[in-house]
Amino acid sequence: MRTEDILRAFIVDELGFAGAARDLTDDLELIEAKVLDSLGIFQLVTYIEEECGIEVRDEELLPANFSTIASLAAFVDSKRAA
Amino acid sequence: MTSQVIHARLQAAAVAAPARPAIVDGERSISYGELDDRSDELARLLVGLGVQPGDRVGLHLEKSIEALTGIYAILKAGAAYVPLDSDAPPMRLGYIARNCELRCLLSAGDKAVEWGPLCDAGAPLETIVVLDEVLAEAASRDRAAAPAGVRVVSEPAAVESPAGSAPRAEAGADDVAYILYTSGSTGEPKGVTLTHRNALAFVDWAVERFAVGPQDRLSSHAPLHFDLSIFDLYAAVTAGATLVLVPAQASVFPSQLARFIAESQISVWYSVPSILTMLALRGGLAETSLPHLRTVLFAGEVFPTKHLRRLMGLLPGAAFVNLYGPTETNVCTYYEVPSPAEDRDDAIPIGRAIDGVDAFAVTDEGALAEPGEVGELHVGGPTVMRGYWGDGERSERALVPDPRGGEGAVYRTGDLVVEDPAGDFLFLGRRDSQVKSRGYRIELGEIERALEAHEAVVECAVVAIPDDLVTNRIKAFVAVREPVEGSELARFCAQRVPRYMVPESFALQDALPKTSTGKIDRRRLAGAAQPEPEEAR
Repeated sequence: MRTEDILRAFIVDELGFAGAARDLTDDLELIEAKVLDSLGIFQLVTYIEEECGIEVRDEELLPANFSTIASLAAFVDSKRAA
Repeated sequence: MTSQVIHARLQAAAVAAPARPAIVDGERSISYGELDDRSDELARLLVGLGVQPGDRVGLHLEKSIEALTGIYAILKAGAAYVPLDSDAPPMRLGYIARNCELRCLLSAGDKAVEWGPLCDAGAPLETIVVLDEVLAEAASRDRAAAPAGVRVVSEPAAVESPAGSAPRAEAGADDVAYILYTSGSTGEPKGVTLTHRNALAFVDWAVERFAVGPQDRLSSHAPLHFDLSIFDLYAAVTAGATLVLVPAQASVFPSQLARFIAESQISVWYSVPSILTMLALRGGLAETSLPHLRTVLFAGEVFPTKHLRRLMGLLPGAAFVNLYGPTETNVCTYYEVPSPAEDRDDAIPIGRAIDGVDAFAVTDEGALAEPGEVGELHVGGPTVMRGYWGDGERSERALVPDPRGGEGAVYRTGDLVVEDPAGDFLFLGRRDSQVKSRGYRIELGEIERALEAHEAVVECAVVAIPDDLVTNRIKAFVAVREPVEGSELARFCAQRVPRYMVPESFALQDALPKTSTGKIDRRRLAGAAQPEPEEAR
């Protein structure tokens, strides 16, 4: 499964996304659209650390990496490749 | 004697130090003098628009200089403010507006799209006052934004209204200052009605106890419809301190929040524990990170002790205080966490009554609980609410005669407590199905009523799963008569209850397990929903 789809599934199933999965596009601004708040981000970090076997450092927890599913997937994939 | 109406505190601060910054809102700030003048102008406008003493006026805009100017204007007009959660669905806001008869609403241009749905949901609005200049122009260009029969007024019109003396302070200490709506088990939110005196009895104690002074910079993290905001706003104005509005964006990422606190030089922080837990775990804090922060207050839910201890280790210069109290009583007890933190993991106490407040536990038999004996916490004194708006019956159940035979009514909190040998109360749990999540009070029954309205739902049970970070996660078990997606139920719920009450997951099944008496077996469901034990971070 693509990283994007793993992330999308987690947001829909575990973070109570109240829309249809198809509305959760790769480019949707997750924080502006109030899909993710501080606690949602926190859960998401814990999940990707466990699921993708990476470690997210405090200073990597930034809008640049977490604003959209696309940016998150790019971040996760680059950490995996490292 | 210090005046016992809230807006008189603003007037006093404006006289004492007109140039001192009252509110910092991102790049903008406003001085006490200016805040006083602008809220006077707006109050005159409101009075001119027909707002009467004793009226309720809604606040429907993001927390901002404008929103706070609106609050003081409403109070100066002798009315009470009703902060509406801008993330709550129109259906719920419509109920609130009907319940407390909101005829006038202070809003912002970017909220214009929500006015129609609000009126469609039955809000009896007659006037909407738009408080931001830029968007007010857009609103006046596009009158289509105004729902039929509602007049939309732009605030700049206030400048044209005849200038004159300050509007007469009609309100007295025992008049209603604000109504905060909380989750109700019957499916409708209930309006906790508080007076100027209720707020200031707590605020005055806190200002003295925590020595809040003009040099302080207080955080404003909680939204205005959440009662933590009462300390932020009114301790700051009483002390003539500066209030720093914490942008929602800044608190999303813990290390950004840490930087914001440092750069804003916040000296007194107040929030729910979950935000502080994130700061402790992910804030990238070092011992020297937040040199200005001297006091950290928290309330709303239990702070897991291991996270609290970690944060105290990272902020050795700050005092930590647990504040406790349902919205109905304001803060009524406090516990100053000893430092250095002891190496123990049991929950810290909620502490003892603040000055002037009476807190005591009553056993099931109706006797005063002895130390060591479990009882329901009762609270009496000047911080206790007047009642639930428009619901005398529920008010009477909550505000009962003092079981010890004393004068005046006391509030039954529904919280079970025990007094420890040191004289501090420990919180043990609830008598009913009210739970906390992220500091918000949630009646599981209200979510169940919302779900039951869906045509596919036969019956449902909403359970709270204890969680280290957010206190509880909400899960729904639903028996359905026809296939339906969990996301459809989530969407349906989100139209009826605020986001923080929408279950995180929906387990769909043909039938729910029953107890021998035929009731839904909630205990079994809660057990089934427990996650696998995880390694604690």
